[in-house]
Formats: sequence, C-alpha cells, structure tokens
Amino acid sequence: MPKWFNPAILACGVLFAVSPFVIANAPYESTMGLVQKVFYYHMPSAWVFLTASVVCGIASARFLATGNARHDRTALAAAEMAVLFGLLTLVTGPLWARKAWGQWWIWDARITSSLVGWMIAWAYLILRQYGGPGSEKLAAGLALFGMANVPFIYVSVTYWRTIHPATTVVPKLPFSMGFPLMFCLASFYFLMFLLMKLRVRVAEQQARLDAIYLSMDEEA
Amino acid sequence: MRITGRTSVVRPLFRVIAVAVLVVSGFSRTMAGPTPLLAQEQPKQQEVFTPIDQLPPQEQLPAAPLLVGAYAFVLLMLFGYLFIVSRRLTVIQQEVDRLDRDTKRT
Amino acid sequence: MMLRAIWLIVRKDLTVEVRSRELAYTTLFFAISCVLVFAFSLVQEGRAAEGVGAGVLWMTIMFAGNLALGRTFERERQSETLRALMLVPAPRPAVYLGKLAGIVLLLVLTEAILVPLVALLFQAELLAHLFWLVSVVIAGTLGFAAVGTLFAAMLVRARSRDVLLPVLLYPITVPVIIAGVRGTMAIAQPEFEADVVRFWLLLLVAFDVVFITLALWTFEPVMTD
Repeated sequence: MPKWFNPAILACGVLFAVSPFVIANAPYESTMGLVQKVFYYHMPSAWVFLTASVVCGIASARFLATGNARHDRTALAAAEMAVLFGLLTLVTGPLWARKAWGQWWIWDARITSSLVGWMIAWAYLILRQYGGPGSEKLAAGLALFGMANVPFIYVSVTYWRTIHPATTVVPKLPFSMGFPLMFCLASFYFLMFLLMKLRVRVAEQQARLDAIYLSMDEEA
Repeated sequence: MRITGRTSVVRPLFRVIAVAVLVVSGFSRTMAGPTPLLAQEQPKQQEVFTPIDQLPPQEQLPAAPLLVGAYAFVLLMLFGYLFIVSRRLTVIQQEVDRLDRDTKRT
Repeated sequence: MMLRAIWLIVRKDLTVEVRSRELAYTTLFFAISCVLVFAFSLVQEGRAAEGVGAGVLWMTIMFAGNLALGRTFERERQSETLRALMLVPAPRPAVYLGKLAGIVLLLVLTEAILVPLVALLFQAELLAHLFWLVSVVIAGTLGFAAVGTLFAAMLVRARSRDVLLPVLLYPITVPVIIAGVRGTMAIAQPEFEADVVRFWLLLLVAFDVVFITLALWTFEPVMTD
C-alpha cells in the first residue's frame, strides 16, 4: 500500500470519532426530535451505496468492453462497498423509522428500490464467490443489467405503492443541519475511497499470487 | 499453505452480515416488545374520541437506544470490514513476498 | 441470414421437444402444482382473498419459467450442443434470439392452460378483456425470458448454476413482476380502467426493448472465453 494510506486511515478515523460531537451540536428537528440524528449517518450511507453501485456498473461495462482485469477488480471492490453501505442504510433506516413512523418497515418507493438494488449487489458477490472459473464476465453482465434496471425498479415501485416521504429535504436544510451532513458525507466518501483502494490492492495481490503459483506449476 | 481461491473477503463479509442480521433482529424484538398499543389495557365503553397531538410521554418509545444502536452498528461494520480486509492483505502480502524470495533464491 | 438462423434454432428445439415432450409436460405439471400449493396456502374458508389470482399467476410463471430455463440449457450442456451452437456461422445474437423464441413459445403454451386455471380456482375475472390480458402476459413473459435466457446461457458452464439462476434472475425481474401483477389486477377489476392497464403494459414493453437490446450487446462478450 502507498505511504499515504495509513495516515489517511488515521485521519478518516479521527473524522468519524469527531462526527458524533459535530452531530450533537446540530439542532433537533422539530417533529422527530433526537432520533432524526440517525439521518447524519443514514443519508451518507445511502449516497455511498448508490455511488458504489454506479461505479460497479461502469467498471463492469469497461471490463466487458476491454477485458482489462483492472476494471474487474474495481467492479468487485465497488460491489463490496455497495453491499456494505447498503446494509448500513437498510439497518439505520428502520431504526429511524420505528420511532419516526411507528413501523420498522414500509413498502415505499425508495426503500423498496434500495432493497432490490442491494440484493442485486449481493447477487453479484454470490456469483463471484460460487460461480467458479469464468464468473468475472458473468458478474459483469449482471452488474450491467442491474444498473440498467434502476429506472425501471424505481418507476414500477413508485406506482406500485404510493407513500412518498418528501424528497426535497436536503436542498432546504438550514446551515446548522447542513454542515454536520456535509461533514459526515465527506467522511463517508473518504472512507469509501480508502476501503476501495485497500480492497483493489487485495485483489491485485491475489491475482499476483495466483500467477506465481501458475508459473510454479508450469515449471514443475 | 497455499492461498488460492477467489474473493477472499466475501466469506468473512457474509459472516459479518449474518451476525449483524441476528443482532438487529434480536435488538428489534426487544424494542418491539412492549409497544404502546399492546401495553394498553381494555378501555371501558367510550362515548367520544378525543384526539391529542403527541402520545403522553410515558407511552413514547425512547429514542436514545435506537440512535446509539444505529451509530454503533455503522461504526462497527465499517471498521470491522477495514480490519478484516487489512488482515487479509497482510497475509497475502507475506505469502507473495515469501514466494518472491524463494523464486529468486532458486 | 439472421432470421434464417433464428428459425433453424427454433426448429431444432421444437424437433427435439416434439419427440420427447419432456419440457412441455414437466413445466406444465410443475406450474399446476405451484397453483395448487398457492391455493392451499391462500384459500381460507373456501374463498381466496381479493385480487390474489394475479399474484398467483405471476409467481407461478416465474417459478415455472425458472425451471424451464434451467432445463433447456441443461439439455444443451449435456449433449454439448451449446459449443456447436456458438460455432455456427451465424451472428451470435441469432443464437440468443433463437433460444429466446423457443423459451417464450414454451412459456406461452404453459400460460394458455395456466391463465384459465387460475381464473377458475381464484375467482379472478381474468378473461374479461382478452386482448389486454394476452398483451400483458406476453410482454411480461418476454421480459422475464429475455433476461432469463441470457443468464441461463451465461451460467451453463458455471458451478452451482441451478441455484445461481434464481439468485440472479429474481432481483433483476422485479419490475416485470410488479408490472405484470398490477396490470393483471387492473384487468380483473370490476371497474375496468384501460389507462391503468396501458401504463403497466407500456412499462413492460419498455423493459422488453431495453433488456433485449442489452442482452444482444452482452451475449457475445459474455459467452466467449
């Protein structure tokens, strides 16, 4: 790993350690009170989940087009990010909803679409793990289909179920709430970047190891 | 010991996810237990319904456990993943270095 | 050239199928068993819940379709004809379209028996507007089969292919099942609204167009080593 990596991880850790204090200074939301503060971790998780899914789709398309293994490794790391941050979103959401709406889960458009998208990312990892040799290309195909599916899932689920919490919350946030949100967003994206770098490195070294063993077998 | 095989972090990641699901489902069961609805005793014959804006304080869910639970879960998962992947990298890196040394020697 | 190749592939599958009739009978039987299982699960006091018929129909199509896809390509794998198909001097997309046509044919034949059966057992007025029903069912089947044919072909040489096909297929075909069920429910409504059915039908058609196009692009790179 490059020399800046460990200090960067430390810096990221500091950001996360500081974040509860930044969030504590934000004002309470008038109707939801204390529990609304889950928002500062829930929304960045959701954004990173979506970003990671898009990165996976694009890297998969490039892998299918060029055959370069580097894109495949990026796609794999991005899929793991999507599953990780998607899980965080899908767990923090219900914890918030239980208090704010009285129910753990509601079948509204965004939540259901996120669940389906998360399952596609998970299916990608299952395919890579258990599909045997040659599953890289198959998984890339799946990621491509998954990404193309996003508008269809969103439209179909929207009209399937009609509970719409407002999607205009973020632009209207006052600075006292906007700043902690941006702080957490920056921390989450920073962490995602570092984790992806680390994961891609693991995949590279794994590939190098496989190549060494292969050449040893050929010599023998 | 030969370290081969595909996505080496996926299995530990699945294990972490399985633990997380168990923890959260257990947590949710404790939280879902005495809901305000279930805690009500049988009301006597009511003539008229009186609306109020908020549930009386003794019937509201405490927010703090949900909030703390959410934050703890996030931080645990994120840094747990970081730890698992770093450890995997160290192991693989050592193996690669060892093989490099061996092949240079021969 | 392309159309001829597609027709030859369809004819090959039909010839094999007509001789054994294995896929047709097993798929049909499985579909009817599915309907029975759903009936036992969902019918209470002799009556099914409102609107359940549409859901049962589409769940059965998905399960039976999954089985049919797996079996079709298993047959190719066992006789090692898939490699022969890939060596055919025809554009690769023709192979995909030929297999797709065969699967759609099989599923439509099954649905021809399934739809009246579900309408009967679940007291759903499915057959009231036949044109809309046929359109929705065929558009949905086409969407499901388009994605399924590509994935099943991709998985032919993979390990754990039997369990991986539904794992990959079901999340991707969520829009198909939502639109199919909602469209069918709208058809079975006593107060029939053509606009609602049209909306879901158009969504299905858009899905079909996008995903058949995507599959045609990705079939070649994914199937070649």
